[in-house]
Amino acid sequence: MSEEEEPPPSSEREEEPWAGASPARLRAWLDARLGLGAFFAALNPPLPGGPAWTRATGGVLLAALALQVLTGVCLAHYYAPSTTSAWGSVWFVEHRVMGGALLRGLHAYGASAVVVCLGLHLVRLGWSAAYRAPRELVWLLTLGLVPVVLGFALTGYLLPWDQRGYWATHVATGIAASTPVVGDTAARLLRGGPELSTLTLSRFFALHTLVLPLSLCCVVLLGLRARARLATDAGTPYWPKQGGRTLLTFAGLVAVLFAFAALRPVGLEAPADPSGIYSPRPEWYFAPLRQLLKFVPEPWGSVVLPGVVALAWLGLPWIDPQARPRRRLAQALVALPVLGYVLLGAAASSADLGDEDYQDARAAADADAELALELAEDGIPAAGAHLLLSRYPPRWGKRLFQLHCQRCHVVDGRGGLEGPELSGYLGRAWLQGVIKDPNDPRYFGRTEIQDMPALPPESHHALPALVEFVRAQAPELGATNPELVAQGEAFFWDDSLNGGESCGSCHGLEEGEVNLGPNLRGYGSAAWLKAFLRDPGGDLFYCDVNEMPASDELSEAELDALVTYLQGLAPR
Amino acid sequence: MSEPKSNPDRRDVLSWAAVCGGAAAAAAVFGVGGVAVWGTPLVLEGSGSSWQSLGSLERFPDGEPVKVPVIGVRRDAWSRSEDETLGNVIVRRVGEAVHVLSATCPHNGCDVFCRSADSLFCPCHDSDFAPDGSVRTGPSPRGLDPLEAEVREGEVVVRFVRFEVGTPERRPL
Repeated sequence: MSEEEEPPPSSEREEEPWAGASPARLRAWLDARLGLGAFFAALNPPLPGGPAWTRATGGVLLAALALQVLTGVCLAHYYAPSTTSAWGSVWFVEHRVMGGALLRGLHAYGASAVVVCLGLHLVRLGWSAAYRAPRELVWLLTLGLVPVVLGFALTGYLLPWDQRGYWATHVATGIAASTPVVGDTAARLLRGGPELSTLTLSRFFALHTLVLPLSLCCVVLLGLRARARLATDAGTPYWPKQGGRTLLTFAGLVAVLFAFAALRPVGLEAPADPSGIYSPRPEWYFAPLRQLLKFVPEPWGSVVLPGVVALAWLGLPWIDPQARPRRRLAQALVALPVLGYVLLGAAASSADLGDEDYQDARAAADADAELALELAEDGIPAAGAHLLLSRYPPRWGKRLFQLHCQRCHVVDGRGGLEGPELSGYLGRAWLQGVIKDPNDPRYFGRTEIQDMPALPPESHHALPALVEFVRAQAPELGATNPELVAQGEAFFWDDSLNGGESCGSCHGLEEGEVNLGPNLRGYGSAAWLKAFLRDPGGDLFYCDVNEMPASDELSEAELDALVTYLQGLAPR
Repeated sequence: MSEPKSNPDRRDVLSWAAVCGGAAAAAAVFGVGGVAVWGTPLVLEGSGSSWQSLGSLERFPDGEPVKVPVIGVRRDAWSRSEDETLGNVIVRRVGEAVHVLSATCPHNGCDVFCRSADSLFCPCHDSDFAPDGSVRTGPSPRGLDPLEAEVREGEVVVRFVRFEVGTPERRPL
């Protein structure tokens, strides 16, 4: 053994700065330079009453807020705040980012958890008179968290720019607008303009990710500072007994959040659509306030009553001071609003369950959401996610039909009586009806198109086969029975069916074949329908007996959508 | 002549004056700037009004209110998009005439729907309106907002306007 391997004498250790570094020495070194001692002391205040599970509320609230910051920062890496991109970016988080749906679930359910924790914490402080001097500021600062947390909730709800958030914000800013005197100004400042727009979204994003987090920081730091200042020397230290209880409670909360996020995904509703038929509901913690409005008219229910409760809670330190205690009154002031809140919440949810109109609207919204998510897989239009649904051909086509065609054509009992009714258009029943008697008022009876004779009753046996043959002209209509189609083709050329004239003697089947009646090559197919809509009076169609205007002003895409709608009028 | 030009107190007063002056100037510059930037929404113009087609008169059954979307050009801050849904209206045809109401509930701005031929209903706070738009029950501060509409060559056209919600009087946006 050499001398070097022997432990050095203690006098030599003093000269080596890193030799013998211990956590305690590092802490002393840092404390001398940063003054962290007071900071750590503030994190480990002595508790005069000793540790208790109920005392976990404050710590859990702080931890839940920290979790929101963490998940929020992750979400902000993907989120794009504009009406054209917001929905798509949230869709991307949900469906493409690994663990994204879980992340969003944690953030959304975490918001509810923060509200619950804050509520419980306030009730605990209020019930145990923890607002008494010199703790007034701690109480007031905790109450100050309420508008901050509700502000987070309100602004965060809109960010996905889906139907749920859009309509809830519509209502919330509407409530702001109905405030006497300052309503218009308040609503404009909230919305970033007179109406909900992309400016509302950027404004809410700035509030949600910058203004409110900074406010939260200030309130929390001030509150902790006030609390540390009041700490007494007597009592059990916070760590590890109380800290352990708090952490365990928080761990339980996080487990619940994970369970909710995994088992009941927050999901994304259809992209915001100002014309959407939608029954908005606020987040569950606003539901009692909404229910209150049904019993108490505005502004009593919306401003006055909540305002009185807020004032009473703010005033608790002076209503029930140490010198002249009025504990019973104070506890009533704490408990009654909470009780009312819970009862109103129960009333709200049972009212919705019994409301068939609402349940119908809910089902329609769910169907829209499902369709939008399915269509999004194919890519979301850069011009806005709402185009997923409004440019979805069957819906777009229906809208175009209502605007351009319904003036003359009935569908589902609505429309003009100039042209043929189109309910079940191109379906077997519709085609049978037309072939049986084209001059029936439901078909061409009200038009100038009168040349096709009705099929005599003794030939009606040929109808199913003829219909199948006609449907076979358009592959997309799906004629399913080849035997019947072949039979129908024979009937098509059979001139005994109709007193000497076959169908084929008036209707061409060759490309470009002009005959007395419309050419049936590809009849009912997208190509045929488009050619027909572009020029219904053309040689291949109704020539000079046509009265239907050509669809000149429709774009190719619009025509495609209209054709998709027309082809969908009958079940396949 | 022998006394000092300024004593420490006087110097402090000058310093405080400079600090206060500087603070006031900074507050004025940032305050005015902040109010201008943050308050711009107060002077932004709304989308105003425009005539839009609702399709043919035959589309609407006689006497029964029908809710339809209004399609037009939508401007949103810097963007302009064609063929967008601007909002919903409720059309009630009486013979050859039409009465058109905005489907936006004047209470909080929810979307009113036609519950039956005799009732227009807001699902948010249960305001119930008669087919002519007047409030029957519920918290709405005014009746549904009527819109200027007419039939031009068989086509229903409407002058689409939005109104502020929550106020007893009608304020077009």
